[in-house]
This record gives sequence, C-alpha cells and structure tokens, in this order.
Amino acid sequence: MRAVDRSGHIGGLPRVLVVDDDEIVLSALAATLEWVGYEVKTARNGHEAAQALRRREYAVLITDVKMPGLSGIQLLERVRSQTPRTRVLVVSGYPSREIEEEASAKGAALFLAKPVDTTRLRECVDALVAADEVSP
Amino acid sequence: MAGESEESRSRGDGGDGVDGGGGRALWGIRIILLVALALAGVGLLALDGSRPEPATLGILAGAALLALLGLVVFRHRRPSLGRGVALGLGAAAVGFASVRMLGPAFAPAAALGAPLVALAGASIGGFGPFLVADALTLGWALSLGLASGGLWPAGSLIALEPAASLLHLLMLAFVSNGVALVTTWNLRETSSQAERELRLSRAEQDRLARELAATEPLAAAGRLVANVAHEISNPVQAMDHMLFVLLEETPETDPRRPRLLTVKQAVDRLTQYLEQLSNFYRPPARAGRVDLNRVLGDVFQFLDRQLANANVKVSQEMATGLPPAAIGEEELRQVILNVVLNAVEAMSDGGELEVTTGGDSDSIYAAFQDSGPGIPEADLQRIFEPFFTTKRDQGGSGLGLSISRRILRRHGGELMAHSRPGAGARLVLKVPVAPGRDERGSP
Repeated sequence: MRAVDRSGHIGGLPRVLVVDDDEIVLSALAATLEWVGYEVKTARNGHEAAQALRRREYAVLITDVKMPGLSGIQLLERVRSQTPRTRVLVVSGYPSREIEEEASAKGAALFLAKPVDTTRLRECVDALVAADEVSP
Repeated sequence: MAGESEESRSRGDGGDGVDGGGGRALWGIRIILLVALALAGVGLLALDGSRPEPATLGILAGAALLALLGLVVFRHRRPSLGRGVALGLGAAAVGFASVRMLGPAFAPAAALGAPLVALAGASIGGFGPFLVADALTLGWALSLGLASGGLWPAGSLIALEPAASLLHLLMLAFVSNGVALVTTWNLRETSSQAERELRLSRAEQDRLARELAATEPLAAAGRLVANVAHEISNPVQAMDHMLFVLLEETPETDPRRPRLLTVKQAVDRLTQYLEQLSNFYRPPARAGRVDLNRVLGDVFQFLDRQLANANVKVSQEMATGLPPAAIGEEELRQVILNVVLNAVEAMSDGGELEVTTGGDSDSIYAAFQDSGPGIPEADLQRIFEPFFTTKRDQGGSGLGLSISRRILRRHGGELMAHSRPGAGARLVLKVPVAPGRDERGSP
C-alpha cells in the first residue's frame, strides 16, 4: 500500500477532489479548476471519493449532496475524521436551509447552490486553498 | 349554543336506549312486561268487573295529550326540556287520576311521588326517554306496593283493590312508554336532521377537497419546476465552466470570440433564471432586523444607471425613525428590486416613481406609485401568479412579483397591488416589525 501523501500538493499545485454523480458537471469542474491551476481528481460517487481520500490528502473537496451510495454529507463526516485539514465546499442542486445548516454543522467550509457561477467557484476554491496554506 | 349541546346529548342517550344492542334487549324485556301487564290487567278486570270512571280515563288521555304537546312544542329547540315538561305533566296527570280513583288520602303520594320519580328518572338518565318511562312505572309500582302493604302513611290505602292497582300500573306503563316512543321518534327526527347537517358538512368538505384539488396542479407544477430547475442546473453549470475555459483560451482578436460571448450571455441568463426559480422554492431566511429605508436606498443606488437609462425619475418620501423589519435583508432587497424593476418595465417611455415609507409599531410599509398605464382590473390578481407576465417577449419570467409576495408572506408580510386605468399602479409591500429591542432605524 502506498504511503499517504500528507502534503495536499503535487509539484506545487494544490490538490482538489471533485465529487459529483453527473459526468458533465464533473468534467467541466475538472477542466475549469485545472485551467485555473489546480491538480484535480474526480470521483463519481461518495465511495470513490472516500477511497481517493484514503490514498491522498486534498486541500479542497468539492462535493455534491445527493449521490447514490454515500451522500455528500456522509462523505463530509468521513473527511472530518480522516483528513481534517481538507476544506470542504458543498454544492447542492436542491439547496435548502436544512442541508446548508447540516453541512455547516458537520464542518463544511462553504455551501453553494447549483448552478455555480464559474467566477464564484474560483473565488471560493482560491479562498479555501489560501486558508489551508495559512493555517498550520 | 345551549340548544345544540342539548341536542347532541339527547342523541347520545337516545342512542344507548334505542339503537344500541343493550337497547334492543331492554326493548324486548319492556314489551314482554307490557304485554304481561296488559294481559294481567285485562284478566283481572274481567274477573273483578271493576273499571275506572270515564273522568279518570279522560284525565289520563288529557295527560298524554299534554305530554305530546310538550314534545311537539319543544321538538326543535331544547328537546330535553320538552321531554322533561311532557313527563312531568304526564306524571302529574297520572297522579291526579289516581287520586280520583283511589281517594283523597292517596293524594300526597300521587301528587308528589309520581312527578318526583319521573323527574329523578329523567335527570339520572339525562332525559333518556325509555329510562324515564321505566323510572316512572317502577316508581309508581313501588308507591302502589308500599301503599298496598300499609307502609305508606295514608289511612285508606288498605282498601285499594289489587285489580285497580294493576290497572293503574298498566296505564302508567303504556302512557310513559308511549311518551318515550314519541320522544324516540322525535329523537330520530333530530338525528336525521343531524345527519342532514352532517351531509351538508360533508358537502362542504367535498367543496374544500375540490378547491384543494384545484390548487394541487399548482403545487404539482411547483414540484415539477423545482425538478426541472435541478435537472437544468447541472448542464448549465457545466456550460458556464467550459465557456469560461474556452473564453480564456480564445484571444481577444479571435473572430469567434463574440460568438462565444453570446453563448456566455445566454448561459448567464439561464443561470439567473434558475436562481430565481430556486429562490421560489427556497425556504425562508431567518428574519433579521432590517432597516427598510436603508435597503431601499441601496437598491436605488444599485439601479441608478438603469433608472436613468429608462428615463425614470424617482422621488422618495421616507418616514423617519421606522422600527426594523422582521425579514432577511437579502430577501427584502430582492423584493424591492423586483417591485422597482416591474415598475420601470411598466413605464416603457419613462416616467415617475414615487416611493413612500411609513408604518406603526406592528408593521412598516413601502409604497411604489408609478406613472405607467396601470394594471387592467382582470390582471390585478394575476400579476402575483407564478409565470404570469405581459413581457414574455422581453424576457420576463413572470416570477418576480410572485416570488416577492411569497417571500413577504413567509415573514408574515404582504405585497398588494392597486391600480386605476390611466393613473398608474401602486404596489405596497408590508413587513412586520422585528420583535425585541426597541431599536429605531436610521432616518
């Protein structure tokens, strides 16, 4: 088994894990974040994401809420216990106060409603990565 | 109402004596007893030859008539009282008839005993008719029994013939049970009236159900819209992201760039539209303490250029010292923006928008009076329906005002529209005052 890489960066690029069960959102998010300057790994569901999180540490996790199998909120719980340094941005196609509050209570750094505007997405991810670099 | 509660009570005890399973058994016993009494009475009369005088029979018949009359008079209003009066009269009449038959010495027992027993039975049974009849008969039987045994404090009672006593008892049983029967019939009538009322209330329920069914498509449409919005949001987000990358990769001088920009505009519009839609179904933000005047000022500042371009002049008359509004600030901003943009769009050739604020300790309001053509009477209510727009060709979604009203109502406020043709439209938004500290907003 590979040793877990704790840096959150590869070759200086901050790593972002993107989880969404919708392929086109996933590839568009990946393309955008790669263009912006991140190392992006994608996962189609919560279980894939959990596996990816066991192998490496990510600076930022962007996750959808409603997914088959492990939901975004459940994934959030695992991240908090496994890699607490990872900042989590929760994105939902069914935004509601309850989900927002639950996500925030379980440690999500930010909550956005779909469709997420690209500029807003960039701002958010940049801010989360910056926060990660500042904090010990 | 007293009448109603009495009626429902009567229905209750009528039910246990008449319609219930136990009631049927009692009926059987009662009929057997009556038949046995009748046979015994007739037999004794045949053997003995003693018969009551016609006057006594007349009094008994009169009592029965009075009892019936009491029932009829009080049939609809206070039937229990009617039965009480009827039984009292019946018992009293029986008592007087007895005195005639048995002699004056029997008067105290007859005059007091029978009505008392009747009323006691009536009150114990909650005026249940057969219970009263039974109480009356038994009471009278007891009186006669006591009198025959010499236990009643009256001298001449020993002379009482067994046949006469039995005849008495028999008549009493018939009269009281007859009264009970009539009362039951009366009760049935009452209960059938209650059934009619119940049917009416069922009709009312059906009407409500139909109304609900009529609003159901709207709710279903709402769910459909929410689902559609969700389904569209993913591809729109993907397009937005990819367009960003494509635009970044396309040099300013590339002739294809304007085309990409047009696509970007289209996607932006979709994004905004979806945001409006999701706002429509989003639960309310927590009510804060919002300064209405300040938010109004912010919105007009934000719209400054747009208002100038549309040639709309704004005059503001703000009340000073308004208490804070109980609503989310972002929501209030959205409502004001929607109302103002709606007014601006109504004044396609420019015009004036008068804004006034005011309120009391319960609620505060902002009124927006435009100088546009006004809203036709038929459209006044419809402007708050989702997707109702007169500007679809100009990209109107028909959601602005309906979202605004929804937001305000979620916070206990209201959005109202008034209009007279040719005199423009006046939209008034009302928001409750935030509870708690008596903190005044800025003027």
